[in-house]
Amino acid sequence: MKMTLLPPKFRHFAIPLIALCLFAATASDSQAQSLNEDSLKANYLLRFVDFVRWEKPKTGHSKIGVLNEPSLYRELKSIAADKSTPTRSFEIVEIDANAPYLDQAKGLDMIYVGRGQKKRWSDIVTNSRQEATITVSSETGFMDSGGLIEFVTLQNRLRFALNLIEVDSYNLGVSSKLAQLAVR
Amino acid sequence: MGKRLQAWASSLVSISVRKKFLLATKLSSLATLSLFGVAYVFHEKATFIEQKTEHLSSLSSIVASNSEASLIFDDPITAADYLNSLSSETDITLAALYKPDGSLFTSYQRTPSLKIPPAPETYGSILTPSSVSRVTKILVRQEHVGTLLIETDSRSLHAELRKAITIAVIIVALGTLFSVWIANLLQRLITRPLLELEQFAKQVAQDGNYSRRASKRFDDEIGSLAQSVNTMMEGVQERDRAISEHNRTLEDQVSTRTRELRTAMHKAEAASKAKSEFLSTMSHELRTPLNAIVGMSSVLASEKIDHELQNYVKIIQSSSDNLLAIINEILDYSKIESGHLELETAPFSLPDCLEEAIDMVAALHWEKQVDFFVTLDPSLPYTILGDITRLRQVVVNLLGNAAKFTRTGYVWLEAKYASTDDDVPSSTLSIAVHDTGIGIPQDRLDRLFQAFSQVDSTTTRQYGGTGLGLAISQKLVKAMGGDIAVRSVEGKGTTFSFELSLANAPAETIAARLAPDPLPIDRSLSVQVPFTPLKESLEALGKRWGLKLVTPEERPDFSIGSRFNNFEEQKPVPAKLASLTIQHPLKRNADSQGIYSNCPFRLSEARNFIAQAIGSPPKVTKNKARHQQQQQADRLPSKCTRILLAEDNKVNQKVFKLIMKREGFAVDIANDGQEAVAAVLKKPYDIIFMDLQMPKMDGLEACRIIRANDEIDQPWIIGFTANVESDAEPAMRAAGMNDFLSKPVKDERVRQALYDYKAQNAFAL
Repeated sequence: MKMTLLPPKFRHFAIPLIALCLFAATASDSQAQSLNEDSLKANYLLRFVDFVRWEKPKTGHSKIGVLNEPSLYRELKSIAADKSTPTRSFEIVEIDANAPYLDQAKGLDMIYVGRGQKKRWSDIVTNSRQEATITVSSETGFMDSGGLIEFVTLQNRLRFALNLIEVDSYNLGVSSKLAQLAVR
Repeated sequence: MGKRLQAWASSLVSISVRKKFLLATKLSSLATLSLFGVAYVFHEKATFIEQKTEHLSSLSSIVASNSEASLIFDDPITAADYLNSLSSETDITLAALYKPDGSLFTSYQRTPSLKIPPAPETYGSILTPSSVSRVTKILVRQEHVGTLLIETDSRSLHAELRKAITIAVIIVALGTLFSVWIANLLQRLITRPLLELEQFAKQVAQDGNYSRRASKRFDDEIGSLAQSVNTMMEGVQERDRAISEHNRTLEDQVSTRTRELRTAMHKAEAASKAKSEFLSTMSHELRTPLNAIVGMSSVLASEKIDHELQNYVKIIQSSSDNLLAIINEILDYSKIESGHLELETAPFSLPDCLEEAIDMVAALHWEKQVDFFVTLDPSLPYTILGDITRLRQVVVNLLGNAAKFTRTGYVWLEAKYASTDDDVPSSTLSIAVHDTGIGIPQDRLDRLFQAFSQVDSTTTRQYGGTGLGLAISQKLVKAMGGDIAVRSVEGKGTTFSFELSLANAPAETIAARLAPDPLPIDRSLSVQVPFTPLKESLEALGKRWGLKLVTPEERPDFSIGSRFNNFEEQKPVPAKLASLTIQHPLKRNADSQGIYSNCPFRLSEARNFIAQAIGSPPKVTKNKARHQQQQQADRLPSKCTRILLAEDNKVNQKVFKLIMKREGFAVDIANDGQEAVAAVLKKPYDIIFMDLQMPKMDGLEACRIIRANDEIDQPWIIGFTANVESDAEPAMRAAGMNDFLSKPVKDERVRQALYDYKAQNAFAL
């Protein structure tokens, strides 16, 4: 029906145009959802620091690295700047996926592992256990690979799972309050 | 309210010391324990609230801490679990977690009906009457992540308060009971010694034994009191001893004095008796020879003797009269001085008393150029209560004085109501005797009423008298409740006056009693009398009778004129019905025509003057009878009158017989009372002259016997007495005597007695 209404010379452009529009609309919606999720994740990441105890002496400075998740990096950097105070500050660094990880991971208190890094999980976890760096990812199976915290979405809400078995291997202490909130 | 409170306070202060002590203990314990109870309750409440807030604070801290992560990681479910864990706390009614923006994060309600309040803006503990709340600000690394509210209801607080109050009440009650029990034990320490002291005082008051001593239990104030009481008892005992000693001395003194007094009294009584006997004897013994002198001289005076001898007889008569007056006054004064004066209280006619008095004096001075007047306010009561004899004696004395010291002019007896300051009718009679005599110097007035005192010795020589008359009169008037006052202007005249109470006097006035007609007399009257008081008195009387007062030109129905010694003659104007001339006895002469009447002019004469003219029957009084007899001096009783004289003195018998013989009467003699009674039983007598003092049987006894006999014709009995007439008269009247004569017997007095007898018997018929 719709096709008959269009002039014949436009018919061969209509379908690709509609598809583009639909894609654009879907992409826009997905981007907004992603931004909101990034914001939540960024907040969570900053708050995780408050519920974790390091064995090494800890100052008010926390260094958080983001691997291959630029939108989150930007959101995290923005929120961290807001939340920084004279006694408490955050340093947000973007880990280059193409550069050697170990060099970049030095001094990190927390590392967020983004998409497409599954091959590097093992190295990251191993290094993080040595460096007492909290490992966080949104990727499914991360915790099974030795990751410490994994974001999950339950009933359309962002929650997180905590790998309590691996906590000791990281030489970290996790607040029971945080453990209480963990879905797993 | 105030009176009730006063009565309650009065009854409170009157309760026993024991009760006061217990009451004080009760009240103080109750007050103290109540204060403690209140403090305890408040303390418990404060402690409970403090504990509650601390507990809430702890709970809040825990829940807040546990909720931090939930708030941060937006997990209300877990947070709700935390809040629900408060359900174990029974008094927590609700808990709520708020986000920093004030929106509710999660909540817990014990009951669904409870409403969750908005996010509080203040933090800390909040206490309201119905709840205790705690608001906690949740911070994570100094960042405000949420607010926690936990609220409890006040049930636990109220329960705690009830418990505290119950405990306090129990403590107060038990504490008060305990303190009362202790006080009851302790009060005996105080009240027992006090009760012992009270018992001791009662015993002393009962038996008056001041040798008792109070026991001292302790060295406290009550012990000190007991000691003081003992000291006082010693003092009282000592004083009693002294008083007893003094009393004994006094009794001895009183006994001695009583004996002395009794002796003195016996002596005084004996002296008084002797005096009375002396007076009585003197009275009798002096009068008996005087009786002979007076009697014989009066007989002699009537004999046909030459002029010189007549003068001698007159001197004898005058001297014996003076002597008699002196004796009478001395006896009278002695009686008054010795307190033997007794006044009678009986009704008598005021006009009769006063008119008789002025008659008696005027008769003695008729030959003088002096006019005698008597005026009575017609509104005065006709009858008054008192002693007629003594009043007459006073008036006679004052009139006698006035007449004695007045050579020319008038002597005026006036009776009226005493003047009062206001318009209230007076109830006091004022009697005054005015004269135009020589007067009394002002500096001598105060000596007038002293006994044996006259103005000066010249007076005594010139006018005679003892100077006792005024002293006697003053004492008599004082005994009647009055006081004689005197006003005098030397050379012009004197007024003696006194006042007597008219209390209890019958209401009938003089005018009413003497009214010629009970109804007002519709006639006219004109009075031409130069002596104004008499003119006014007659006019007032006439007005009261209803007569109309007119001028002489109006030709009255009744006209009264006068012909006095010291005033211009005023003949009565021609009257339609009757005219009367009031005149001095010496003025009566050949040209005296119509009705005339001598001075002093009496009210009863005025009454009869009117009554005869309008046809009313004349009202006969004693005065009238006497006046009629004076006008018909030669009308004596029949010569056949049977007369008995009971007299023991031979001289008196002879004098009396001579007097009676000259009058033409035969007399039988009885020497004593017994003979008199026997004579009466033997033969009927019309008149008996009875001496009072006779041997065997006195005159009074004889009279009583005669009066007691119903079988004989009762004679007219005239008593003779040598005593002062006022003393003897009541006794003679009581014994049944009709009349009396005082000794010495004079022919005119006997004649007068015969006139009276005839007049009375004539009216009796």
